[in-house]
Amino acid sequence: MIEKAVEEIKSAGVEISTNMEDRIAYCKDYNPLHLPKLLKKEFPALPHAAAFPKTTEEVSKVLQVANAYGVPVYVFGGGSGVIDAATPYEGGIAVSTLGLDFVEIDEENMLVRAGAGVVGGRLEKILNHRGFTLRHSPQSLYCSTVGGWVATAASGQFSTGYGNIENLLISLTAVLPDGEVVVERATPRRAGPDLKRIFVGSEGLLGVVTEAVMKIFPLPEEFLTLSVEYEGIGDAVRDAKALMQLKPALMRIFDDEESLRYFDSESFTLIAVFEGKGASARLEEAKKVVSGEVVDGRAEKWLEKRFDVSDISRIVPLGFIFDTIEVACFWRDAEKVYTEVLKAIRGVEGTVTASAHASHFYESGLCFYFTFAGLPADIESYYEEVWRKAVETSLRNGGNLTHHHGVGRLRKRWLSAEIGGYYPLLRDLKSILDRRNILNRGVML
Amino acid sequence: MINPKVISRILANTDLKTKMRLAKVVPKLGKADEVTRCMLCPNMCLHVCPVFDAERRLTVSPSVKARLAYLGETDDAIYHCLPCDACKNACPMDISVNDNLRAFRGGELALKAIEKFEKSIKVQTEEREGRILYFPGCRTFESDLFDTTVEVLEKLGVDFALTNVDCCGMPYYELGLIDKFKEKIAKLRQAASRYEGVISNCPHCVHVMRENGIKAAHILAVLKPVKIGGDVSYHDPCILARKLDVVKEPRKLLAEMGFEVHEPVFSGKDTHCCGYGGVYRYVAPDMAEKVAERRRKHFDYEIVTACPSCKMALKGKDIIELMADVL
Repeated sequence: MIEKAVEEIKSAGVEISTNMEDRIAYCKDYNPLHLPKLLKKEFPALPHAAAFPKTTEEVSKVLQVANAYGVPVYVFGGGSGVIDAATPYEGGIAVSTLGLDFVEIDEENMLVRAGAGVVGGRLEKILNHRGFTLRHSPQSLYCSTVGGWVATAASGQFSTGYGNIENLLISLTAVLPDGEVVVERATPRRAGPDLKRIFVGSEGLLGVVTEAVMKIFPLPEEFLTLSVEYEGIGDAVRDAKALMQLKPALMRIFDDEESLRYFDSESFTLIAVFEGKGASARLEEAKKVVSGEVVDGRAEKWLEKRFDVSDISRIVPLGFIFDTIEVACFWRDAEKVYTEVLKAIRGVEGTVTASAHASHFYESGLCFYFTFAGLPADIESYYEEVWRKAVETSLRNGGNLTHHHGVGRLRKRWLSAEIGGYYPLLRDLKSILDRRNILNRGVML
Repeated sequence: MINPKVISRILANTDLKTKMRLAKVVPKLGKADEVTRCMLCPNMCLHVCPVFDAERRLTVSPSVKARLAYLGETDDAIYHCLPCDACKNACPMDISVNDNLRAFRGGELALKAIEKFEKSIKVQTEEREGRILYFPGCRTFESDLFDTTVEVLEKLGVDFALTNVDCCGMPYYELGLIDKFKEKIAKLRQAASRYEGVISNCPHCVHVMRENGIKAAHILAVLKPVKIGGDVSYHDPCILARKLDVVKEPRKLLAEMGFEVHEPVFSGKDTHCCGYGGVYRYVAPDMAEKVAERRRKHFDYEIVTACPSCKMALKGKDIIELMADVL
């Protein structure tokens, strides 16, 4: 079946490869459990082929053929997802969206139309050169793609001021599992059903996103920072809630352990960025609002290091496992979620370090981002235990399942508890749109 | 260097068995080789890699090429690389993907590529005596810059020599053909030893010479401004900006020549390779052209540069040519 499908895709003029090097390139996403396997020269999985469509029509052709033969298809952008969604465990075809890489800037309407394969860092650089910004800045900015952002419901470091990917999205084009192309007219807003939202966070389950129209913003003239230190998480969270009235573009709270790593301080640290018109006045007001001590330079230190993930490369070869778990909660549960989840992670034998920061803020609450590193005797069982304890503790204390990394295979066992009656609805949608269950099989459901 | 306070926290919060495991591994911290560390990265330089940008396959992305090298899959993708060091410029670990992959090259694809290169080069025959050696490099001939450069150097009164050495050896080096490279650079070193120093139009040649103990400078070092004026965009050759640290000098020279210099997206140390760097042209010619085509779109004004390869790829003008027009 797979050989016939590959031949048919090839004869339709779509680039597809069964070369070993291309297959290895698409053997995994960036779930941390894959890294020790690679070190042992084992493949987490291996697709039979990798397809490189260059247009929405070519994506459609690949899916038509795969659907006809019932061949599993795994959708890849930059492969930076961490929740084991894209890994091709059943072989099949890895479809790369990277060939869809056009960028069209509409300065008048402050929009950008971008192919799903455009890499974030490059898009931002091109926009900046023209005096604009997307202000969507996930830590994976340099290696993730527009399509990946939509498919994972991504969030960026400036989401507090500018919103998450769903708030930036004006319209999108997607290909359904049977090859049908769905596209809508772009407009600032419309009433009626907003069905493009079914693809936001769908993790390739319901279709392949091929292009998106997104809002862009003028590069802010003013960019001002605030750094404040506290003795505990409670005061920092209360101040963060108060600061939301002053519309910070970015805000974060680092706990004592992360403050130590970033700033050589054992206090808790809140940093905020105020930008655009009126930023100076809002910053001055913020300084009056906060109860902690205003300190110098910590925001700048973090901004400089915010894309540095090189510690992973330094510690994984030594046998460490390292991961992050992000959950959202309302204000009232914040202290409890922070304290209890950290305690749960630290309680697992093998944990070397566990810490957290609050990374995204809303009128109603925030996201905590827990980071852990362990040096266990058995990586897989340790990893499983940390995840189970952390997620269950989060759910029990008012936290949710995921804020922005997604569900994938890693968190799917808790999805039904998280989304309740929407879970069977998602299953129904999957069976209607993907009758042969070809797309990202095993993910989420 | 780990903060001692972090260490004491780790020791306070970690169970005994884990402490014992830590004691065994901590001395090895940071000692993994660069290929391994690069392979474990999520590709945080993907956005600046010109080869990936043209080919649009993760297979040729920086960290996946490291993965392929680590796994011993060295037939093809590890050659799809430019010596531009855009990766290194973006890397907090200061890793050059190309530098690391070189050791894994030297196979069949290298031999085919070097054959193409050897067929393409024009050999210099003219000889003359002088204080410093002018070593044009093969690409100066290929881009028809040689006669213009000689003319400009003469008019500027530079006391330069020419000698019959055809190659700095860079293509052999890049393809992992190290014995042949050593032979080429030894010949050049011997020739250069008779002069006060060497100048070249080609940033590649200058870099290779410097790395191998030859006192060399880019030709910009001997140029003097002549008044012209107008609007241009300057393309920073990647080797010149990143490896030779020459970023301000061409802008200063152009400004003194009366030009308004407009920066393209990707400039200075953050420049973008033109596609003709290293030996990519002999490995994947269509893709090298695609890199060049994409880079050309970054400019709004006439492209001016200071490298024969970039001049050819971007269909622009070398600063030397601007000078020759008025001298």
